[in-house]
Amino acid sequence: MTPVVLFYLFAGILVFAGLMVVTVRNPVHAALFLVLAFFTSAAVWMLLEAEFLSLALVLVYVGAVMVLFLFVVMMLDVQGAPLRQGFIRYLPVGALVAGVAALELYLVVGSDRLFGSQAFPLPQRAGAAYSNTQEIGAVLYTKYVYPFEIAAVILLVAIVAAIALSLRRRGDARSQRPGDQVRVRREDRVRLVAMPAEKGE
Amino acid sequence: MSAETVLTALLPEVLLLAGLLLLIGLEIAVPRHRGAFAVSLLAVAAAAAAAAWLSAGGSSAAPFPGHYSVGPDTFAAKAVVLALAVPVLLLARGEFPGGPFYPLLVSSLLGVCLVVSADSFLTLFLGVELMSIPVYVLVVLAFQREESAEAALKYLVLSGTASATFLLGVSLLYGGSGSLALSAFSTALGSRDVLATAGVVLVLSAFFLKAAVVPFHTWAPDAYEAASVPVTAYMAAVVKAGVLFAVLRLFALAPAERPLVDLLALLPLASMVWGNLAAMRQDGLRRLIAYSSIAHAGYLFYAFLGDGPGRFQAVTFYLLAYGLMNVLVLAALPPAGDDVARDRLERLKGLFQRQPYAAWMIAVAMLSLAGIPPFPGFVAKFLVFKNVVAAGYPVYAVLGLVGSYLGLYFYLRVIQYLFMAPPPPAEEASAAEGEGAPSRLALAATVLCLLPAILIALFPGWVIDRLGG
Amino acid sequence: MGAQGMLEGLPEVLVILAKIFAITLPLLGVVAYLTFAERKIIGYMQVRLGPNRVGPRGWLQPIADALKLLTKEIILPSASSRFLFLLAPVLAIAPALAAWAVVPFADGMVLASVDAGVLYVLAMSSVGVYGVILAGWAANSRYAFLGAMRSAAQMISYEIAMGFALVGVLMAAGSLNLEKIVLAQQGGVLSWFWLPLAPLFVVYFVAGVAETNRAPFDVAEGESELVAGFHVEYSGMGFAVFFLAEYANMVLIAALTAVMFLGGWLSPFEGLPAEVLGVPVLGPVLGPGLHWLAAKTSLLLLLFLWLRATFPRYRYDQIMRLGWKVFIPVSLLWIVVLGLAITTRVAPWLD
Repeated sequence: MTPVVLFYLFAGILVFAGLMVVTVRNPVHAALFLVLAFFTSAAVWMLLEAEFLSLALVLVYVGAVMVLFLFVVMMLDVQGAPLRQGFIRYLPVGALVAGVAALELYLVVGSDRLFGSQAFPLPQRAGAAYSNTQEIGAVLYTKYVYPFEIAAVILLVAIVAAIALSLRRRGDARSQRPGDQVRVRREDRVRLVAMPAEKGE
Repeated sequence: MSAETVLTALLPEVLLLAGLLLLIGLEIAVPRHRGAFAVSLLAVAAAAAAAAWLSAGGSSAAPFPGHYSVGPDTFAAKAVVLALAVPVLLLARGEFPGGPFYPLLVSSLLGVCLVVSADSFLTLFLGVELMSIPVYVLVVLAFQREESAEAALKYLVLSGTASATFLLGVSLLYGGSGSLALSAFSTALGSRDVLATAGVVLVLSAFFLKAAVVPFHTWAPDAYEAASVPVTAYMAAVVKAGVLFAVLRLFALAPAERPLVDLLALLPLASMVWGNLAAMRQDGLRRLIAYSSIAHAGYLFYAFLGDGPGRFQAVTFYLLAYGLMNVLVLAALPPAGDDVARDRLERLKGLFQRQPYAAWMIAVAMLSLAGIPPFPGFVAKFLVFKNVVAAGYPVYAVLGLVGSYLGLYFYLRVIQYLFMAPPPPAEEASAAEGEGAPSRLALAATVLCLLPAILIALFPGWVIDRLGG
Repeated sequence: MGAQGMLEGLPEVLVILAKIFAITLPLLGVVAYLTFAERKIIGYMQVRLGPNRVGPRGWLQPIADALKLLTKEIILPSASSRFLFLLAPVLAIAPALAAWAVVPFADGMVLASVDAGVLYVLAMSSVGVYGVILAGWAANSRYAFLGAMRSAAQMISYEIAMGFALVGVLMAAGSLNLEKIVLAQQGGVLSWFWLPLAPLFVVYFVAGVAETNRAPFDVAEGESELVAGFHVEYSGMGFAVFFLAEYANMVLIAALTAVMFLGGWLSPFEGLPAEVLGVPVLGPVLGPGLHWLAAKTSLLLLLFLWLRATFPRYRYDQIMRLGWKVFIPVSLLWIVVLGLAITTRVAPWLD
């Protein structure tokens, strides 16, 4: 009973937030609605007993990705108007894509034969002793260890790529060298000059 | 399975990975980028040699069952791709003394190797991403013009869309079959199920986009033009090969069946026709190569109309011939003051009088890309069309041949430019302005392309046997 | 079935609510007197008296402060984004309180003994940054915005090091459940994780100081450069809630450090003979219990205050350097060392 109510509550918020992401005028508000969407989908995952993925979603997407995203959006100060210029012009294409996606969803969810409860019976509810985290770890480091390692390489490459894009040595920029600052000695900066005190007349 | 077998099966990848880590370490530890070129050249050449040796030894293994497997044919494919990367690296020496170019290139090659051996959608997806992510950045690295940033962004966004489409398709296939094994794709090919077909179409269109098949080709001319010469060569020869190998893994030996055959024939056909037509109007060499590569993507996908066993040989052979010739053109292209000038077709006028060797090389490559008989491109096209006819699609074969004849025009136009009488002195001076002879490394690259090309032109049968299948 | 089904779960819900109150209300009291303690202790460190006018020896000072803040006018800047401006303090304090759900106070004394407790704590502390960012943006003020940007960058950078430190803890304990992490440290003061995980202990605590934007990492407030940084436009209760959130986070970080590295509610004198533990007053004091967690948390909180009294503010680029180039490599390296130690089963921690 309660899980069902909670599910509809979270799903409702999720759909609402998703709609607001694309319709709201202010890009910062849009990003915040996206945060809300992530958060509620994490809650839905929690209801599905996928607590590890759910918390990872909050941690990674809400806690890190979207913060950086907001960071950039706030800095850019994007004006809403030019973004909305082509709204009517692109509407038919957008509607078409949305229609196709909806049709696919209907095919998947709507057809009992393929994906209905007959084809895939409801999974058993796992007890309190069941640890989703442990299960994921158990397959991730055995069965899927190679894809996992490749993903690690991809992340490494992404770091290299990001650095390659952003690291430019500009000739006119000045920067500090902390090492040199630390190594500085008193003699480099201060010269003590002995001056005889002058006598007032 | 012992560590030794796993390491043997992964030898090319391990060598590349070691090279990658070494390159990153060098970048941090060694000032002024010394050694990056040598290390990457060594890693890639060693990986290519290892792959060729393992292929010749006929070894096969599945170190990660269900995700990754190797056999003589996959080793051959890896050898082809890695060998194509060697002249690309030679080309890059002048333009990129060090920096991020080399680690990015090596990691992209690692991605191609993974794609070639992928057994599950998971590895395939990761491999394709590992192959593409560095290339987006390589395009921007070019010469940091505004256009290259724009082109790279286009490439990134469209390629990202392709990845999303791929995942959507895979999720449908996974939902239907309950398995991430690539065999889900070939099973779904023959199925009459709506969802399975939808999944197959989505996955295929993702690869159409990555291979730049009409109507998903729009990123290619911009990206090819914006990138610097070695990166263009890499994209044309190696990335395209990676994508096609991914499709080969997907199809495995399954025959193309009815509702999908038309999709598989019509889009590539459109690609040949449009690529060749649009290439006629270009006045920049890299844009021309881009449109030519769109047309060639069409021929390559045509191969999938044919039977399973012949397909691998046809595609691999084609990729080898096509890749060698593309790299050859770009290697022989005389350097100029700046990269934009280097690109102008106009500048090739009368090149024969100034630099006969370069002119000959470009001419050979153009004739081969056009598919004129004694050159390797002809054998490649012949194999593809022979398979299409043998599979019982003579109409498509004829249409494809007609499409390919459209291409003769612009390939021959380039040759006409090369050998035509020298332009009036004033113009010649401007054409030759800043023009130097190809560097020694570029010459070595042309030789590295030319020798195998001669080999596969003279003994196509022997090469095809080596490629296994 | 509907209404009845809802009612069936009602007592359970009420019990949970009561537990939440039992955690939150004392916590707010602790926070209130932490501010008092801060002023007093820093006062003593600087050879001053600190607040001593309200009540006997100043003990009613926090209550007077609360009354003052409650009765102050709430000012909404006219060009601000009203809803977000009001939402920001709530977003700051909610995660700081929510994270307490998984903190074990004593054996079995925990609101939710979930298996992914460490992850939950990390997730909650990572959400806390939204309060700061939104406050800075919604106020539509340059100072506030600069403060928000600084703190966003800082919190993200230190979260990584913090996450790696926690990876070390869960490797050593073999569990993500905070209760089990405490139980894995049984055996007296030398068995606690602060010893085998010493570098991670330091990294976690310092990253925690940075996460809470406390001195010497308080560039987000930076009263001498940014006036008060992200909350410069807040007054009255809005300001009070930010204040509460900052101190609640401090208490949380201190408690978590105590739980994960200092043995939580365990007594440092574990392994005493049963006769000693049977002594009427001395026994329960020396045995495990809530008071040990409280003592350890207080000690760490004292450290927070001490840091503030001692160190000048870090420069922004130095903060970034410390986070990325020192803490992350150190914690990564120690994870490798720890992995080796676990495979070789170093007693008494990892056997």
